[in-house]
Amino acid sequence: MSAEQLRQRLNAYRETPESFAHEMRLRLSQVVVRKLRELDWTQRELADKSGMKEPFVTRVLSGDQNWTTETAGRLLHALGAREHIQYVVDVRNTGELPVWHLLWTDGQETQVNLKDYASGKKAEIRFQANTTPIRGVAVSSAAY
Amino acid sequence: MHYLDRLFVGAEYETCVWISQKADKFLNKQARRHDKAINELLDKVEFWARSGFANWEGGEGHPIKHEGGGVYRLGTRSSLFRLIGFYENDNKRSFLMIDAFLKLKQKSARHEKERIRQVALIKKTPKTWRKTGE
Repeated sequence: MSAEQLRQRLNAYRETPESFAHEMRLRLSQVVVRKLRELDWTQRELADKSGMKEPFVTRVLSGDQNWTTETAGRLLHALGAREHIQYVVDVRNTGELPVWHLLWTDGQETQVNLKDYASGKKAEIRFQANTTPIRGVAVSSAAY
Repeated sequence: MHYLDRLFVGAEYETCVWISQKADKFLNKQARRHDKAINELLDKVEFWARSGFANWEGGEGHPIKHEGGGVYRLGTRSSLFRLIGFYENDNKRSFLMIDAFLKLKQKSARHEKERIRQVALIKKTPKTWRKTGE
């Protein structure tokens, strides 16, 4: 037995659709945790202000809640967290492989050189937005 | 002596995570029956490690909870798996995962508290653990 087996297991899991959904839940929980600290709110306060039940907020916090866009919107609205929401909305392959152009919801673009990242069908891309690490996930049609 | 292997260690992690052979063996074994729960738990631990465990610490309802004596338990609402360990030092850049177990029910049983107490004892006692592969 070694920790290598656990890491391999995790890498295999990351190739599944379930892992993408799980990552979205974790991303929301990260925004909620950060904003709760900034505002110095308790989970109960957030529950009251968003009209949710406290156990729901707790499950969101631990990344366990399979939320809908509507409920996520209510939480983020209560937290005033609109500026924290960013997703990759488009991945453009300009033909100048291996550079990808990522277009974000706020209209900004980021260039990513895939040679800097792991090879394979899926490339996991991490970069900084302001001082906040944001992890975007894109699927490559080309293998590197 | 508890030997700890690298689980999530590197510059990309705010909190590096080391795992004992005991916890590693337990998780690998449980993964055969509880595939989804273990995968999601590892995914969460890795995510928390990237942003730093301190961001996820708190009281009831937080995924990383202080159990007293410098010992922390990691867990989620979606499963009863719990990971027990402590920080190597005060800067919280390195977390040593010493033990792992599956709770029998939501409320902690006496023997589960005893496992946490044992980890606290390891933390307090010098030369009871060693990192490998540094």
